[in-house]
Amino acid sequence: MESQAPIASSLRPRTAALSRTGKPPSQPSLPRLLVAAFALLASAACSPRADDAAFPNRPIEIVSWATPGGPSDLLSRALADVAPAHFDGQRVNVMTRQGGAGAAGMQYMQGRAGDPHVLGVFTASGTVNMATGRIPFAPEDFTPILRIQIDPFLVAVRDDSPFRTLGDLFEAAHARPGEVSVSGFGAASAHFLGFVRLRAAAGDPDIRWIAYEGSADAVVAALGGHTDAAHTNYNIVREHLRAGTMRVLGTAMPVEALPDTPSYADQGYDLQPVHWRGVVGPPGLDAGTRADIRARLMAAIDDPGFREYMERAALEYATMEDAEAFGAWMTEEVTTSRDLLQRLGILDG
Amino acid sequence: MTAFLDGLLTALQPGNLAALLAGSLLGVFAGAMPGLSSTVGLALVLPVTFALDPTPALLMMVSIYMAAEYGGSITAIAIGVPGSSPALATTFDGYAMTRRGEAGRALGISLFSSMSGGILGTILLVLALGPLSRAAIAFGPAEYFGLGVFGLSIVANLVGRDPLKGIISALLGLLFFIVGLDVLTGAPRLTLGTNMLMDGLGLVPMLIGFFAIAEALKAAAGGRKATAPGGGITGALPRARELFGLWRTILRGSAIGGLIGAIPGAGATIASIVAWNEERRVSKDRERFGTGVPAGIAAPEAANNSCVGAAMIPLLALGIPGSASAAVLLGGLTVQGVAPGPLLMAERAELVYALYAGFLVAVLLMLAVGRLGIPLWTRVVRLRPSILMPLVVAISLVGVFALRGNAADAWVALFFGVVGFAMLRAGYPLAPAVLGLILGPMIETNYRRALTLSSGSHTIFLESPISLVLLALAVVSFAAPAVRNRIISGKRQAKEPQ
Amino acid sequence: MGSRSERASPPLRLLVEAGLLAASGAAVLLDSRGYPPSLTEGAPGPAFFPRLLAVLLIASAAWLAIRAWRKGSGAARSRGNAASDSAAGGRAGTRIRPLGVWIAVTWIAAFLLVWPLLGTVLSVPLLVVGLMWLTGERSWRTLVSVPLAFAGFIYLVFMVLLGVPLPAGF
Repeated sequence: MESQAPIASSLRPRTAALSRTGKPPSQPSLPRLLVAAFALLASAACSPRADDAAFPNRPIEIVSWATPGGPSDLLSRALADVAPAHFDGQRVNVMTRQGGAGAAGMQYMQGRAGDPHVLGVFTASGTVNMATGRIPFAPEDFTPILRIQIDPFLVAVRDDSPFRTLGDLFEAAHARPGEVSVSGFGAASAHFLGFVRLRAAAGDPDIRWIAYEGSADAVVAALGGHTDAAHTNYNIVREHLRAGTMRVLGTAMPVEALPDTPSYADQGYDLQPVHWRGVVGPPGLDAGTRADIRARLMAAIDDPGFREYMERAALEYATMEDAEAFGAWMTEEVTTSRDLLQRLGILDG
Repeated sequence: MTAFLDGLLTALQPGNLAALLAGSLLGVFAGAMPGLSSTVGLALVLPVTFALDPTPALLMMVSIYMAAEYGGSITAIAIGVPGSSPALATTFDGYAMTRRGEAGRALGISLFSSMSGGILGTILLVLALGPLSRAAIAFGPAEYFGLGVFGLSIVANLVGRDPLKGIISALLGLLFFIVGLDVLTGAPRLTLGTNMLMDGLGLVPMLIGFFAIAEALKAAAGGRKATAPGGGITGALPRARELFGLWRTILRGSAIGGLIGAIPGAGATIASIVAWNEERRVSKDRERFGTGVPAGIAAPEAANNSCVGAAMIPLLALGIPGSASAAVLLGGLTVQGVAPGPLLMAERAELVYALYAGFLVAVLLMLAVGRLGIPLWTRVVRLRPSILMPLVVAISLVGVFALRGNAADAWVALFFGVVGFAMLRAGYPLAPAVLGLILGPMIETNYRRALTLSSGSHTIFLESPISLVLLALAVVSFAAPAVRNRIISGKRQAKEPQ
Repeated sequence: MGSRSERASPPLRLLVEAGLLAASGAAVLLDSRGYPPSLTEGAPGPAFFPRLLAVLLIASAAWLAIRAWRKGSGAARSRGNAASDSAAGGRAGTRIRPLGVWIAVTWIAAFLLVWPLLGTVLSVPLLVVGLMWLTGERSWRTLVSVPLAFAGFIYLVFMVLLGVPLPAGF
């Protein structure tokens, strides 16, 4: 299947994620030796740069470690859908590698170091999981390529809620400590930290964070009146906003579709916590390859099909000027999240 | 009504019919393969649906979902390994019937009940979309806790003859659930320091370990004398009289499936176990449940298929996926530009009616595909155990890997295989442990969530009428077998060890 | 675990069983010391439920041990129970070869180790042929044809038709 001449990649333990320890196999099997010998012969016959020049010379894998059908998984699949035209017609396959809060997929990418044919969708949840140590990797263990989209946080309430603004919500929390609750995805998650930042800007009232397994569950809790508000993303409540069954108190950033909704900053809370998603490569991609993949991805996300997906999922483009800036952003998020979690006493200092 | 007929015509267009048929075939396959489930089947076709129009894409997905719920019962009945978790309760009586040689009868009952449940669930979806969606969101932490405790009370009927060992099994199952990240604090618990256990010990690896690997180990322990499931397996189908005689059971099962399936997060596995248990409770020959009673197959199978329609209720009315499969469906719809929610019915009525009609056509296709498959499956059952068991183990391990692309899950399955074998040898029933793993999250997380909301006051569980009723039912259900045993042993002074 | 129970006399076997369960409970209690407190005062934290379960497990184990102590014939009865276990279709109590079980477990574990290296198509037939031998298959024709046909089935259906990313090997 991939016998062309990928000398570097065929010698690498591609399936490190599968061996339990992640260690490369110590004993080369006979077939492996054969492949290695073949690759050596092939490389001798070709020019030294053949590998790079040939990229992409076999199908691209997009590793997905997110919940099937969830927003990150959908991004992987939407990319896989439009990418082939921009990767010289190579097939682009989404490869599911779930487990360990994403660590299984990331481990798999570590095992493919230097191979430009494997990409992964990275999100704000990934950086927070790195900050908590749930994922034993750092942004430096990847080659950041392109941040693609942001998904601003917002605070939504049921239509019959007495709260009209974020101020109302926090005032009530100050007046009745412990009696106002907000539901959202996860504990020590990107969603939680986004809300904690907002709460801190409002003077840290005792407002209960009710953690749920998913954002949709958190919205159900607010819809059912079990919690006072939900902290979530626009696309999850969009239909309820259109139908008037829910209202938004404030959005982290101005949302185009919600011109009348004031942002956090408009209401005096000077912060913009966002959820973002982007593409990273395995470690050890050189600058030239990275620029090449980035350019192809930039073209792919400009594809009408991809634009349609972005619009339908109510997401906003948020590419950064270059891959370095994206990497620096990831590193900074890990640091600030860790600091915040330590201040909250959730992580030991 | 015209709208519905239009929907039916849409669903019967050649392209759409082809999508439905493809979905049914894939669904039965994905359901029947241990490890694969409707969720995996849906995720696999997700890229395919990108290329389709919304209607065929949607129809293909619903037919996979529907057919997989029947497919799960095939392996449950034929080899005693639930093909997917909602078929767990079907193994109780289904596999017992197969071991009596009546594989065809069991499969026929399952297929007929699945079909009926599927139709009744769809009718429920059409008629009660609004009210049931409102009822579904009434379930908050206190109510889920009540439901979880009620579900766990079923353990009382699964403990076998030694209640202590049954309770230990349930405790072990609840402890297995603890493994992983705590939802409410994000803290890792019992993960042995490895991040591969952070997502917890999955239900599918447990089912595969307990029902496939443990059985294979038993066969290996028996050497050449691996137990064959009786000599004369027949593919003889049940008579129509017998099937229609089950109508009360099917109605009850479908109603339970419809109600529990509409509650987000509760799901078909819980619904089918509750249905089996309720059927046992109302049945006159309660004691024979688990030995191959037709009603013991019909109730859970009607329930898990009626769940499919019911799971669409929160999805269509609120845009909230009620199950993992519904979440994939929602993802597919989003990409198609179809946004389920309160406005869907008003804005995309034609699509919704095509979906309703699609469900009914999907049920009929499932019936056809399932009926054609029965001779094949009865042939599989007739295979020598020394051929069948190794293949079951291999396909289970491949399936459990394919589920999440995670090799650690296969190791977890092997762990559960060893644990399950040891538990069987020492006389511990396995079903309570499975129930513990399924219901642990619902019970613990919601208990703590409720007390977070109430600042530690337990009255929150009594203030909600739903939770109050469910907790009361739990007490009754838990105590009933013990009380009954008391009475029986009081009558004829023997047998039961207190 | 299965073999351990073989040599011991019934009450001792039950005591070992109870000891194992109690040890599991103790391990949970030990692990739970490291859990963080609840984020909200008044609400139980992450340690509450595991500790409750662990205590119940230890209590059940103690009861099991006491019961075994009191009537040595308890074991015989518990063996009968396995046969009545409806859910698992268990049929315990027959004479077993502990060695066969251990070889089967080792064989499956070995398969899981070599699977990523050899790939699905090569390693799955090895798994199948080993388990067939262990469960008593002795016909050479079957031992060869079934694993090969099965590998073809897995390759065609899972890898080609459905595109499931199974390990392809080297």
